[in-house]
Amino acid sequence: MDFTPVISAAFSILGLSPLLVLSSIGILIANKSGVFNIGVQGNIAIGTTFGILGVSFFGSIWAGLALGFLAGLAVAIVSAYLTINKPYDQLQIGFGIWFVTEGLAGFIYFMSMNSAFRVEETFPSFNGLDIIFFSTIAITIVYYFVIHRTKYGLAVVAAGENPGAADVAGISVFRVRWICTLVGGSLLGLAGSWFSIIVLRHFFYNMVAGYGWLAILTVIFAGFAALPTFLSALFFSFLIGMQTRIQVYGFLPLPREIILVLPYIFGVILLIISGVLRKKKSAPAALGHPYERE
Amino acid sequence: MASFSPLFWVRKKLENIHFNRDTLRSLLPALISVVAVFITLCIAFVYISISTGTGFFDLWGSFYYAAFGSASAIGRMLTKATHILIVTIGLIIAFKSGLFNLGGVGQMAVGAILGAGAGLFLPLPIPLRVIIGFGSAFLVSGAIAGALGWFKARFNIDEIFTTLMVGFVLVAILNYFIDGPWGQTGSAEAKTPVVPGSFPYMLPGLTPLIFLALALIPIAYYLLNRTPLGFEMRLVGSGKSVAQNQGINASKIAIISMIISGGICGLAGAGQVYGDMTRIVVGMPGYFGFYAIPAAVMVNYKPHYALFSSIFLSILIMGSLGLTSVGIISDFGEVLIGIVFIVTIAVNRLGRKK
Amino acid sequence: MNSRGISRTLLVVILAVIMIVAAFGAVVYYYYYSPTQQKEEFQVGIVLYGHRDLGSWDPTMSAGITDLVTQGLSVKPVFSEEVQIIDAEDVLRNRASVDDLVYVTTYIYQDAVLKVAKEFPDKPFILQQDVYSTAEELYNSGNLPSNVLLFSNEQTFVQSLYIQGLCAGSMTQSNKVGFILVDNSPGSAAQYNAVREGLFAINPDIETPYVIIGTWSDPIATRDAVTTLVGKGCDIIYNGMDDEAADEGALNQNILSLHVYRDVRSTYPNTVLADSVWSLSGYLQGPVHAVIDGTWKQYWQTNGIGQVTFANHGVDVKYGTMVPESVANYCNDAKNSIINGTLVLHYDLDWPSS
Repeated sequence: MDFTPVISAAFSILGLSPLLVLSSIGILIANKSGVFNIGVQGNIAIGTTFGILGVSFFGSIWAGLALGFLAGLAVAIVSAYLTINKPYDQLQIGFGIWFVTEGLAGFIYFMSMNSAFRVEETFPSFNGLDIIFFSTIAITIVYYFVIHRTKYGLAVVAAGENPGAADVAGISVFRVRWICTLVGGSLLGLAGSWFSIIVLRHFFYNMVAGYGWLAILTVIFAGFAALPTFLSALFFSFLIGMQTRIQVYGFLPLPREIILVLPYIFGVILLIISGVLRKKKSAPAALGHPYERE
Repeated sequence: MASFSPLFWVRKKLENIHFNRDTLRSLLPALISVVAVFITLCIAFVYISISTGTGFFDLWGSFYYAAFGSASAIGRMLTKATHILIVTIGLIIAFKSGLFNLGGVGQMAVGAILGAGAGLFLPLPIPLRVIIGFGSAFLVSGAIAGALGWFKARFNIDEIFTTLMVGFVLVAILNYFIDGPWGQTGSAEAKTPVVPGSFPYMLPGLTPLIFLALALIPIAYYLLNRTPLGFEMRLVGSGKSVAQNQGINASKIAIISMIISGGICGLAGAGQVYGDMTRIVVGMPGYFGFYAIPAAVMVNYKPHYALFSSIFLSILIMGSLGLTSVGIISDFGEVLIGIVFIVTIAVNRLGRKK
Repeated sequence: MNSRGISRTLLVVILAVIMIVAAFGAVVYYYYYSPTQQKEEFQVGIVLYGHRDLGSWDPTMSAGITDLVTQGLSVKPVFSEEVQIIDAEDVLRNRASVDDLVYVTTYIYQDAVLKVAKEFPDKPFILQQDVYSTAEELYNSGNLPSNVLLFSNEQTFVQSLYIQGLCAGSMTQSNKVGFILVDNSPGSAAQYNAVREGLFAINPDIETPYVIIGTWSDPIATRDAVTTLVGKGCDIIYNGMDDEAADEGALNQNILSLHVYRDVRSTYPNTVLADSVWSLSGYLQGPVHAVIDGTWKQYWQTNGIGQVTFANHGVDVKYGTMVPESVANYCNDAKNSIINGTLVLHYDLDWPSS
């Protein structure tokens, strides 16, 4: 068998992976502390918009990335207020945030930018693996160490598993959840802006359609743990990367539309299998439940 | 005669609902939503008229005109409301049992496939095709949702994600059909041929599909509030342990409610084919499946108010489509609906007894 | 005041606001926004699937009108962007109520145009078509309202793509040219076959692998498709998509690309081998003037299905800097042969069996 497509696929997948990896880690951080936001799709989309806006207004891709990061932070602030400070249902708020941010992503771009804009400069990269790619590895490692080796990480886990006990132990559940949501949301914004600035160099309408859902799926399937999340994100990036190759090389006799949703098909099947096999629920116990101080 | 009109029975059922302070309290969020929309639109229009120079009143005018300004506008608005309404009823039934059926979009897609397939290919007289189309839409959609409900009941696999993801896959399958085997030959665009049996128009843009939607309201209300099954569903929805203490098989109830919920969403999909588009085109089922979520939440999962939230959202959609004529892209409608949704959730806390 | 009093006051206040809103709306609608009052200038409504300055297709189609404006024609172009097919009917009704001419830039809205045009028999519509035979079928079917003018871009594609094929055939060193196409419709097949005809005229052994993306714009899949085709040995890529992602991908892979619709050589100076630059203003000039003069009904009647070709300057092929003069001259000679009729093209609307 000819291995060239697999090798080129491997590099293009790794090059594409920061989008899913950063998004998944961002979601994981927020989820670990017990906050669940189903509206992350819009957070990434806002990142894509502000990424390009940043490059266009400030002239440098670092500015674009920073603006995407800040945009994700802004969205996270709103969603944090609505889900942590207020005891609203996180699922419903999440959908509301999704509608608003996804709509705003397109709306703001087309209100501010009147011409198609292409990003000129880019990061130096090794076969498509640039500094952001290596940063995602670093971020995952840092996350792992913080969660498992520091007392701050312990606070996060406590807030997610049993906020009542954490509160009694003196941990400010609100503050922990706020910080995790903000960090997570900013990573999502960064992922989006990286994608539009570095990968696509251009704004396309709805360019990250579906990636937010895939990121949520990744985290759930990976059981809310650091390394499995990283690997699952790589796996789903692999599926995305293989889409055109499957078509051109004819690996699988599937219709094109089905190939496009292969990540979701795999995701559902794997979710079901892992749910069947896994006895203990791996999600943080308080995930999705607002914590109300009595 | 009036007594045989479905509307008469709807009114009769509505009369049984007592109008008291609790009703007012649950109407409060809706009213505040309307105010929220008004304020949001004012702010947005001020910003837009400053940045693009379009007149402030032009924007208001195009919004209202698109939503109310002509018979066809109202007809189209009601048709969109119908789609949202049917899916909303489906979602309400699931939500009342404590299950989050977020696969409205996908179930609509399945319904569309079966409805169009029956209409195009069955060698039977047309009315029979329509009935089989809707019937099979209900059954297959319901089966899919029921299966996902079973996974939740048996293995505790969250139905939120399975329904959502399966929804995307089902839409992809719909796209496969319209691009491939059922695509209209010779046409550059992915669409099926016109499905025979598509409903005729009563008013511009309005087909008898709305009667199906209106009929579902009292059916859903009756099911949830007047039947033992509905009682069990609501009991399961309020807490699994409570229900099990009563000797109810919570799993069975969960699965049944998902079947009904998915089935109704499937009806919405077939309805979109027969009652609106007359064929499947790329882009169907569209946003209706997702907008049903705010529609259901905004009325606190009460089927007898679902019509109003559906119409409200539909007005917002039509208005924002009208705004495209003055240069605001249709994304704005999504932003509007999101804001309405969030504001309603926030206000719900005010209206509810604590 | 107790809570009962507060909620009652709140309710009253809110109801009052709602009444003001309704009154506001009524006033705005009746006194300000009525279709005839609002407009001062001659207005052309342009209906786009995408955005007027994003990608290739929509800017090119919009330029048909905006170029006329730049050349001094005093019309006001107004855009409806991001129109989904399920919303097309509503957007078109809004457009038709306020515009003097509705220019529908893509055939995917055909159904909606046919429906709405019947409701506005005194409004002129222009509808784009890809494949000429489909346009002809529609024209002869009796279903085409007399206020809809069709024009076909089949020759725009085929003539210019043949020339691109000649150019690519002369320049390829690996004898493999890859194609990235939107779908498997007859229009895409025509593009594929037209380029191939040009390639085979130079060298019948050139291989032409292709990837069908499935939608008009999918930057990630497109980018990957370029990588895949390069992996198969292609050194020239034909970009049949509605955006420049394929050219971007070609730039990343250091190969050459063939572009359609608009001139992107300045953005990709070392990548674009040949560019079919469309300029629809040459064709649209006639219909727009006819509408301004008020003679459009005869114009629509006598001019049948428009074609945008080399001959009426609707399209031209521009070459990249890497093309030597000998090749460019050869291609231009071929172009002139097409214009004066000595060269007849034999492209196909079916996919080749190999």
